[in-house]
Amino acid sequence: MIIYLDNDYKCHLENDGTMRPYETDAFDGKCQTYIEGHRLVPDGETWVRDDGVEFKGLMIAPWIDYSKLEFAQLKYELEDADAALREVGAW
Amino acid sequence: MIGKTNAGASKTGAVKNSVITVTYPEGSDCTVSNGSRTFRAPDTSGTAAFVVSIGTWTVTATDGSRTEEKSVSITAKGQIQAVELTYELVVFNGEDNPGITGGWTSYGGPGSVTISGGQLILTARAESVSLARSTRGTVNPIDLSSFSTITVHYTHSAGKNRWSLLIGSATKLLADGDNMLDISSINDAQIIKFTVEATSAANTNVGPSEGFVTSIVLS
Repeated sequence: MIIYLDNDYKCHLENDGTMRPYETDAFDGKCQTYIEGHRLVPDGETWVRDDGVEFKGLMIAPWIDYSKLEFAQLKYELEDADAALREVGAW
Repeated sequence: MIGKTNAGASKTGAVKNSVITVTYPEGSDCTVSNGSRTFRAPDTSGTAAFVVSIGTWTVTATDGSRTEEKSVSITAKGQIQAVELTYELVVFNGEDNPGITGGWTSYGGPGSVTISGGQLILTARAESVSLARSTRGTVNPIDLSSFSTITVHYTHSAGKNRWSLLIGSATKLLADGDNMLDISSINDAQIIKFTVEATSAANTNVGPSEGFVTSIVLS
């Protein structure tokens, strides 16, 4: 899938015109909240955290509390399963 | 609430103070020093604020057996600089810390994880069937809530696919040498995992792959 990286390496699903596209399969099957709660530093590039610590790519890390992202993804998957079951007339 | 330490009130309010706010391990002593002046936190509550002048300050926390410090540069009046100090936790350094890890185990894929010669040896074997991923990790989940970085020293030994560090959704493809992964937004207990994946449709078998880990430190 194609995602877009802003200048702080945060992931987005839509480009506001200032971002660059990046192809990855790391977020396949993940919801928008989960994807956009992560930062992706490409191979060969470096992100500097607010406290000055440098992180070299390839690195993927959440920038929103991970438990909230897990919850959003679980909710998305349950809603997806519910919709599929309704479609086949399970209820 | 962060307790003030040396904060003197400005009578006019015209000149803003520069402040260093510090979060440090509860029960520790906390100081800031520029070499000629040293200020000490009034208690060991884990938070403090220091009014400081322009210059370079060293912020230190110690519990008697462990010490952690960071350097802070104050370049302007009114600057507020937040500092977080945490003691390092050595998970592996030539030998395992079993009280923390509970040992190491396989979470799928042929191969093993062993400790020999001061190294954590990660291996994935080639199999006739294609495998997407092979994973090893600590037996115990480890509380990461007070850490922001994990540093792993890795050496790739054999195989076309390198191992990655995987914690929750945070992952770092390991290069030879020190590798740092940002875990500042992971605030619960997680298993520290190492995983090796097939990299393409034409490269569907993860093994053989071997990597050596000589240190794992949380900070």
